[in-house]
Amino acid sequence: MTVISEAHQLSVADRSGRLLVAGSSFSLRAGKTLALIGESGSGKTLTVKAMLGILPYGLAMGGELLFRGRNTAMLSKQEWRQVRGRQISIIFQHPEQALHPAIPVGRQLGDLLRSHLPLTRLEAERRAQAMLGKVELKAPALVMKQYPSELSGGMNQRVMIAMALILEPQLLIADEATSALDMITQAQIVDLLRELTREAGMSMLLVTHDLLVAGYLADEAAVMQQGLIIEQGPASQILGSPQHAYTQQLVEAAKRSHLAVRSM
Amino acid sequence: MKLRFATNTTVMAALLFIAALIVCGLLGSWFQPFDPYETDYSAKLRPPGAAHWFGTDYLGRDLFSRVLAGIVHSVFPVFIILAVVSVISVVTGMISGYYGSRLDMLLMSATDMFTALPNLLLTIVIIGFLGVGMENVYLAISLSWWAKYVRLIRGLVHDVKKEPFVLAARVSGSYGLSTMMRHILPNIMPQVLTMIILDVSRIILTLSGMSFLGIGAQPPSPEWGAMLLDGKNYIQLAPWLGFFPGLMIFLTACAFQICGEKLRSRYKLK
Amino acid sequence: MLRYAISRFWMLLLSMLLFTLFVFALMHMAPGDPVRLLLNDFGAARDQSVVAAYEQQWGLDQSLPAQYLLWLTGLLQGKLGTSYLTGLSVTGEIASRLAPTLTLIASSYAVTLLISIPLGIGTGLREHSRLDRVTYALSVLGLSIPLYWLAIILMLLFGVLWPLLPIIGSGSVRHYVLPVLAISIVQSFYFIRMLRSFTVEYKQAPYIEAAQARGLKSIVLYPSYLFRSMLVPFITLVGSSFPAFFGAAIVMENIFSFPGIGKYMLDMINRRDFPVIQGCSLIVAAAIFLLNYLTDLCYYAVDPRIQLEKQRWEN
Repeated sequence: MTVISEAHQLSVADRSGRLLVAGSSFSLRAGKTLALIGESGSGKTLTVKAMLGILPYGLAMGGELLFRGRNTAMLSKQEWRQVRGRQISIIFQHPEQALHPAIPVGRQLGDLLRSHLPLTRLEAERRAQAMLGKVELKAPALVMKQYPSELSGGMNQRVMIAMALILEPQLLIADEATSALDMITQAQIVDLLRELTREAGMSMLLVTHDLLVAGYLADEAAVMQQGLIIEQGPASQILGSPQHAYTQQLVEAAKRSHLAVRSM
Repeated sequence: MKLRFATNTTVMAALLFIAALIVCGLLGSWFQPFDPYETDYSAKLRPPGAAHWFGTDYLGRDLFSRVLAGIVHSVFPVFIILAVVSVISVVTGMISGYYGSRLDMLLMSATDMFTALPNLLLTIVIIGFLGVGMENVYLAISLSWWAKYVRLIRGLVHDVKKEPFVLAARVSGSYGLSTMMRHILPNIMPQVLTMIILDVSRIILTLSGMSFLGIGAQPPSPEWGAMLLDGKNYIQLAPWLGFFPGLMIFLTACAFQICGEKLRSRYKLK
Repeated sequence: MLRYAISRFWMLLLSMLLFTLFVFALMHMAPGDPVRLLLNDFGAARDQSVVAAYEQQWGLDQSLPAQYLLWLTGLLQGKLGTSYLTGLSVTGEIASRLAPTLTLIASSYAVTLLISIPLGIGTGLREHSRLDRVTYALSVLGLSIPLYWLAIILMLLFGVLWPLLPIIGSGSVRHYVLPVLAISIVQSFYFIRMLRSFTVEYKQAPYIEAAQARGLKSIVLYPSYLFRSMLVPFITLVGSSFPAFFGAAIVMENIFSFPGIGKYMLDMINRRDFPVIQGCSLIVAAAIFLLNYLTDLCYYAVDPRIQLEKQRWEN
């Protein structure tokens, strides 16, 4: 099976030389989902930013990142731009913050399309509207004209998913994509993600602290703690019989909250 | 290549310059080769040279001596203005920020008025009615800076007031005045001091500017701005008259600005 | 929006009212009795009955609050008085001098923006680059340059040593070059600094970062995503620096003997022409207050959503 993306000893350091990500290696296979599990501050988001080439100023990357067999360090600025959004796309935790507050949703989708494909404004609009229908937004024509502040969190997240998938990238990164949503919406979004990525044969990097979501979506899992990947393997194995003490703790805690729900 | 401005050497140089300025100002006449007020028609409009380092003016007065004598008129008043103004505005700003209410509202429209008007207009209004002179310039500058500080301090107090330790102090029965002195004042002090240092150069520029426009210090005062005004009128005959006093204003303002920038980056002030 | 506009308008009126009170107080603190001062010019001050008659005519025999009200109603009817010196109405005197001052201010604004927009935004986007560091170092020096000294040096360079441009008077475009250049250089340092900090601040907005992560073309990303968000602080910057430009214009008019309002005001101070000083300051102050008011309204007019979102990401 082909490997889409690979990290070898990936590390991120700040200016004082402190390692924020301390040499993690993982690989993502075509059409599979890898869950990157860890608490906030464990280096997940920086890993993601490094994969997109958008590390903030003052942070340096070490190690190697391969995307479709190519070392991303070799990419020019222009090539990077073409990779982002087109081949690797991302869904953020807070959709309403990831959308420009003063531009209608439809135009933001159109801008994205027209940044990567030679389309006219009208064609872009039509495709955008079709995609909004595909992420099960009711009345896509209306949503096109609305501002993010006029949509609910769940609706905004659907818009973000539409943006992430409209260019049919090979890799989708979901950075805590469902954590900020309420339970019911969360379940709907998870289902939608699963359905659409399966359908397109897309790989997904699922960054989450939620073991239930990870267990539901992921084929493989890697657990991160303080910038290090401490355990990785098939998702069922990691979540079923964790070896590392920290993973055991996580699984234990998840089970307890699960039991609590059941006993209600 | 490092080109960061507020490096330690530049700050040291700026501090040394300021120290030298203060010493020269305090011990003025020791360093002055000539009497800054003494006219000598035989040595009119001499260009800079060995005898007169900065040259002489149209009355034959030694420009270097006059520039040194000008420290007392151009720099020292700034310290006094800032000291007085900051004390008054810390008190009003804290009361306004801490208690709020209608007094606050009235105070804010008053400060609004003073901050909105350019210094120059305010000075013109005051001088226009009360007459030309340095005291009225000081009054005008104090009024506009007072207003600016009250607004800033009020904002700082508002922020600090919400901090847990202040809330804790208030809950445990600490009253207005003691909360302000013990918890609020120490916490806003670094910002206020930085603000003041950053403003020294602006006040120096403003003060000399007023004299330059002829509404501040009057001849024969060796105030730098007033000297520049003379220099402007002799620009074709004796360009050095318009150069050295301005250079001093520039260097002094620069020295204070550098120190201010250093403090600003240290305290992360906007 | 409307409610904000109205409540802010009351603040505007209150500020204006306080300013008239301030001017009125100053007028009464002024050395010398205005009637005697005026009549002295006609040599009639010694005659008590004449003084009394004039005092009554101008309401000077009434209490201070009554005098203030009388004066204020006069102002509201547009009575700014007449110049002691020329006997012409102050409004007319000001109107005839408005054009040079406004041209000076407007062209200085234009040149300042022309210099500072590319540099400010450029250094903001390339934070910590060499260009950025050099600009920062220069701006520390630049903020310390006395405008009047810079003007003198420019005069010396381009008027005396290399006589390219006129250094006195007005009338042709060439007369504007040096004053506009001096104002623009000094103001640009401040503008570059502010624009840079806006760029740095808004560049970090989550939605700009996200737009970057979507690989938007720079030609779309910068103008319609980043700069659009910066519009409000930019307008505030431009609006709130009007007083600085006006102050600078007064200085320039006096250095270059430019027949504008600024020079007029200073000349009249030296001649103690009270109605002119009073009229000029009231008009200029009103203009500044009004401009501030309009700038504040822009906050809402441009797009409130950007400001709301900003409050959220900052918390």
